[in-house]
Amino acid sequence: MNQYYHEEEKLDKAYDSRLMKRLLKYLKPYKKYVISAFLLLAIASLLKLAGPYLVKIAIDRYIMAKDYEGLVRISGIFFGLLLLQFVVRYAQTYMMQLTGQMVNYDLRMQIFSHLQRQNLSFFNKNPVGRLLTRVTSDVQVLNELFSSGVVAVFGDFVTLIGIVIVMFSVDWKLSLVTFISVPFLVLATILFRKRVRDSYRKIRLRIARVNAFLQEHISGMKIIQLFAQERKVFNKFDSINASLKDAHIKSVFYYAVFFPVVELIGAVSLALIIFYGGSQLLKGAVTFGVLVAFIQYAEMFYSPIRDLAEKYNILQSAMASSERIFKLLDREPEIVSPKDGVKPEKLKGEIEFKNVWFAYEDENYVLKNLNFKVNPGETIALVGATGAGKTSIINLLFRFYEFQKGNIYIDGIDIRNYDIQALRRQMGLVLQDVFIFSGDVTDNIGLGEEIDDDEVISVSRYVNAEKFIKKMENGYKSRLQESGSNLSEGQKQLLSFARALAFKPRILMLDEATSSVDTETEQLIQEAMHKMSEGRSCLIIAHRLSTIRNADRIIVMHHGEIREEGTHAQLLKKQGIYYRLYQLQYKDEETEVAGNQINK
Amino acid sequence: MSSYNVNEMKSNSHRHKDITRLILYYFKKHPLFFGCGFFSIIASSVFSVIIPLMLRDAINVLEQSGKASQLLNYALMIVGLAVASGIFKFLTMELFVVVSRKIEYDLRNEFFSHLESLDQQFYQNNPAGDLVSRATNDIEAIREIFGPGLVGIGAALFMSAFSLILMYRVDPVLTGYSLLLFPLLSLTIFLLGKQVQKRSHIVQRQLGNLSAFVRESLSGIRVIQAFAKENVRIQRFDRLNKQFIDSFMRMARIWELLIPTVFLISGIVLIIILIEGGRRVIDGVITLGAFVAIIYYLRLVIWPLAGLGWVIGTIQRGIASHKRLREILSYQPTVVSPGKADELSGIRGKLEFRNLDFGFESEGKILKDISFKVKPGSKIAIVGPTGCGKSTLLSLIPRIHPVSFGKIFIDNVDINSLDLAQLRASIAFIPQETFLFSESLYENIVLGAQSDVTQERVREIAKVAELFDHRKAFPDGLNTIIGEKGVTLSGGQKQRVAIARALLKDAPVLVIDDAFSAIDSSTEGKILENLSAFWKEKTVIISSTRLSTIKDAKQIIVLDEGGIVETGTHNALMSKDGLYAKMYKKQLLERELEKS
Ligand SMILES: Nc1ncnc2c1ncn2[C@@H]1O[C@H](COP(=O)(O)OP(=O)(O)OP(=O)(O)O)[C@@H](O)[C@H]1O
Ligand SMILES: Nc1ncnc2c1ncn2[C@@H]1O[C@H](COP(=O)(O)OP(=O)(O)OP(=O)(O)O)[C@@H](O)[C@H]1O
Ligand SMILES: [Mg+2]
Ligand SMILES: [Mg+2]
Repeated sequence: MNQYYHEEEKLDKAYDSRLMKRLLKYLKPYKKYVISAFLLLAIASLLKLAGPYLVKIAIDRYIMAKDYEGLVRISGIFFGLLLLQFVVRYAQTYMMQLTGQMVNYDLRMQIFSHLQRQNLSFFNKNPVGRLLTRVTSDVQVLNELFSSGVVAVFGDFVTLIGIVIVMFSVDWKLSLVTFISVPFLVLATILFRKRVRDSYRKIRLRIARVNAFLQEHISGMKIIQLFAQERKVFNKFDSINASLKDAHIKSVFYYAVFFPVVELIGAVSLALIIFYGGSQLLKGAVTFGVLVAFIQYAEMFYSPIRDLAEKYNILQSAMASSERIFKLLDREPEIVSPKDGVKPEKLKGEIEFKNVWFAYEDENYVLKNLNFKVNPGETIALVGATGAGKTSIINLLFRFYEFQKGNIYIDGIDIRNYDIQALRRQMGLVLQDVFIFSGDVTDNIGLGEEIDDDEVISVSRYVNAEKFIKKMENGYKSRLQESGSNLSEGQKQLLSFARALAFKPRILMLDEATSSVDTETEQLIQEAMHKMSEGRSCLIIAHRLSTIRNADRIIVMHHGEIREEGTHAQLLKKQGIYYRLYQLQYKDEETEVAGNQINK
Repeated sequence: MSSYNVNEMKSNSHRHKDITRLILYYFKKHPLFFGCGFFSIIASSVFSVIIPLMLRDAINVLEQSGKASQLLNYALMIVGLAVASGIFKFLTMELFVVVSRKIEYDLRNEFFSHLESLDQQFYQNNPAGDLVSRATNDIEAIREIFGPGLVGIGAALFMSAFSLILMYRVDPVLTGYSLLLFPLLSLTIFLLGKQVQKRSHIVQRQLGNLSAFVRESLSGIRVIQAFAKENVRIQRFDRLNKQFIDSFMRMARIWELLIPTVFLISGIVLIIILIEGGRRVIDGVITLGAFVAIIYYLRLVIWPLAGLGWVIGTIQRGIASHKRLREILSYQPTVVSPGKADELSGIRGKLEFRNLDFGFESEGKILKDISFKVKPGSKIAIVGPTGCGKSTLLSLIPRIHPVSFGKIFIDNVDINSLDLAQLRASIAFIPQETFLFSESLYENIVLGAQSDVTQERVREIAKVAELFDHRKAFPDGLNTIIGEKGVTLSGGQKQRVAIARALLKDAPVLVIDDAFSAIDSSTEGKILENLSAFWKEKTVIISSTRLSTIKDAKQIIVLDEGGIVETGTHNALMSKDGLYAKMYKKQLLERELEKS
């Protein structure tokens, strides 16, 4: 299980300018929003500063001078500013949320499209649960960065600078005293950062683990229940869940220390203002108003810094998430269409394997020096023990995996020269592992593409699926559940079969397409196919020999090699592997059939 | 794993009735944490509130042109108070975060254990992606109520209460004005909070949909790519994606109003205090020091109250998420152990179906009036056309679906009155659809073990299932890690792992649902041969579409459209010349053709 999590273990620089630059590019299309949001934010931050200043004026100029009218006037101004602040603030945060969501939308689209293009070998190594986090939570983390993190930091920054300027222009000596504690603040922040980074990494890792575990075990719940393993699985989950909790609990310590420390430093500044400023006031060097304003500004100065810890968290999460996202986006699929790839209009359906070697991993060859040819319109059957490499042949023809040596030709053109999507559109496939999407029947046959209802009905009829579809409550509009759990296995196969026929493929590949279908239905399908498959090449894999009775030729595979090839009669005569398989399936029936015939 | 207990379950649903009950429940569960936690909030609030008192006194000293040494006292006192308040703030955070993480952990365990008790009908209606989203996103949102939520509320309440008290001592009239804050804020929170909750429920739902769609698009990637339908998927995703951000923005529009509104309200109150307070200073009713202190207190009231805007949003979102969690927790498992379960000592494996009818929720009857008996240790087969109900019938034996019309007996005991765990422990089931976990082969097989097993035993079983038909198939042997759902195995290899898993269970009843469909007859023959020694004593029920597999069964039951149409041995059925004979001959057709 562990091999899947290695990727998560690496990372995490808290700030990486390269990543940040790349992230900021996503803001480009929304430049207008961003700029106006920043302007609004700057205004809001300045407006915030105005408050204490107005109070200072109110005290010094009006209250001390006992000018009530003036006090009311300045309060009026205050109120105006307040309203303005309300509007500006709302507009700004709304704008930022909007931008954040737009960026999210773009990112999600990009990741999803990118994932759809990845090769199967990629999916073998990356559990769905983990990829799902990229599209959902990782993107959401970035949203926080855009909608509150970066922007708020910018706003805080403006506020801080504003405070410093105002304070220095009012009284530079008192300002210096106030800011004596700043170096301590920097030190505290640096220490905090280091600690938090480590614990953050751990948390990410464990969240991913919880996610992956849930994904998998919820899908496999039936097995867990059948084997009465609830307790064992629960215990496993419990320990993963507990380790996440522990990581969280450990990390809180640093936050819990950091916040009060910043406050303490703030209090020291306050004390200094009282002591030093007060003495100055006694000497008559500063006014009351100045002192009161300083007290308020000092407070304003420290509160954003306290927030900074929060922001730092956001920044760090965002960096980690964007690193993972970009790593994913940078991963180009190995098998891609060549430039100007051949886009066949209508394949003839000739397939040729020439000295093909193929391994999923390293040198572990699954197909060894394979040579065979399928003529246009021919039906070829592939049989052989399980794990012999039959499915692998189909995987190569569909360009799901890259083979290492040799050549595969379709219609005489090297398969690598084809535009992959165009090639696949000419081929139909029924996979050994059926997959049903949630959605209605029509949707599953047309896979979401606009397709004629008549066409759907006619292919369903061909594969004998119409009978059960009609029995369902809403016929072709009946809803199928996730992974087709409200269908029988055989029915799922029939649907996949219909799906393969719906797009009128020139080459049809059936990988155990009817292994769970009863023979009678199977035979009806075969007859129907026979009628419609004029000129279409067909590659059939089956263990049940009755499935391949219409094949023109049979290829027998063993351990990745072709052992026998020929027609049914030829192979029987040979008395090799095929013959033995045949004997097994039809053992002692000689006498029975004979007996039956006698009975008749 | 409390959820197996029916009584416990009732109290579960009680505690999840609404968020207040949930909070109270956890207060009771962790009294020390919450007790100390709230105490820390109070203590730190008290200390923070005294600081402005010092300020006021210091300013009073200044007004009366006191001595600098007095100022030093106040300064030192401020630092001391800040230290004290800091310590309690530290404690507050520690306590609340720790306890909220504990609660999160608890909830997630509860959720998962509840999922474990739910039947397949439930899983059909709830996509896994959505369930995962609830177990992670929603539970995290609920945690925020207990962590930042409660701290925020506590701090706001105590800080404002203390500040008001002190303020009152400084100037009751001005305090009266600042009380205005409360009705205004409550109204805002009430109006906006409701909307936030409603809208974030929708957001979470959309997120669930989005996740489910992505999950499906990734698990079904083979089909999508084989049919070159990537673009269709992308377009659909585009739609969901848009819907999601729309719903999010609908929430944000309200959510983002909260904080500015709180600021506006508190600003207005500040202005009132400024005017009225200023007038009172001018009139000489209060000192300037008192006025400054009041303004400072007002900040102390406003600060946590401003945070309250955020806190309320958090809580409303948490409530919305809790609703989503409750949707799942309120599903009552339909398949449960009876209150007083019959205990059987050593099940021998006699089976009987008696007048059994079965139908899924919305569908009509799938099985009709099924009755048959199986002697312990005998082998019977179930055959029939696609969709006739074989798998459904078999899955009723371990109660994967609830049995309510008619009865199934095992060793003469109604399975509904048997302890569920015991029932399932006595049945080894190989489902038609293989599911493997992305662990090692070894772990996948060992899943079947009911007690500890030796490595040796696992190896032995793997041999019975012909898993290592040739040495090179798995370079790492049993330690080979297989991809998700076993994607790195061939179809037949997957099935053989599933077979090995069931065999390791060593239960008196073995149910095989078409589990050889992807295995060639030569390997199948070998497995069956290995098995014959293995399953001598066991009751075996096997269903298969490859009739050669089941020909030797003692009894063959032929199903059609959910009803039994024929039973008998192969020979008997052949001579009957009914459905079975017809199916069988279809498989022979080729041979007959060959002869002619
Ligand atoms: N994605 C993969 N990664 C690594 N190895 C694989 C992968 N898929 C298959 N294999 C291995 O390649 C070999 C051939 O597998 P393949 O699926 O082609 O067999 P098959 O002939 O179709 O068998 P079956 O009849 O059981 O379906 C097997 O040993 C299998 O374990
Ligand atoms: N969970 C479900 N909800 C609703 N209907 C279902 C469900 N599972 C199966 N069905 C329906 O019940 C009928 C019987 O299904 P079942 O899986 O028992 O057939 P089967 O005999 O095993 O077929 P196969 O040979 O194809 O495996 C089918 O028509 C199927 O569509
Ligand atoms: Mg295969
Ligand atoms: Mg079935």
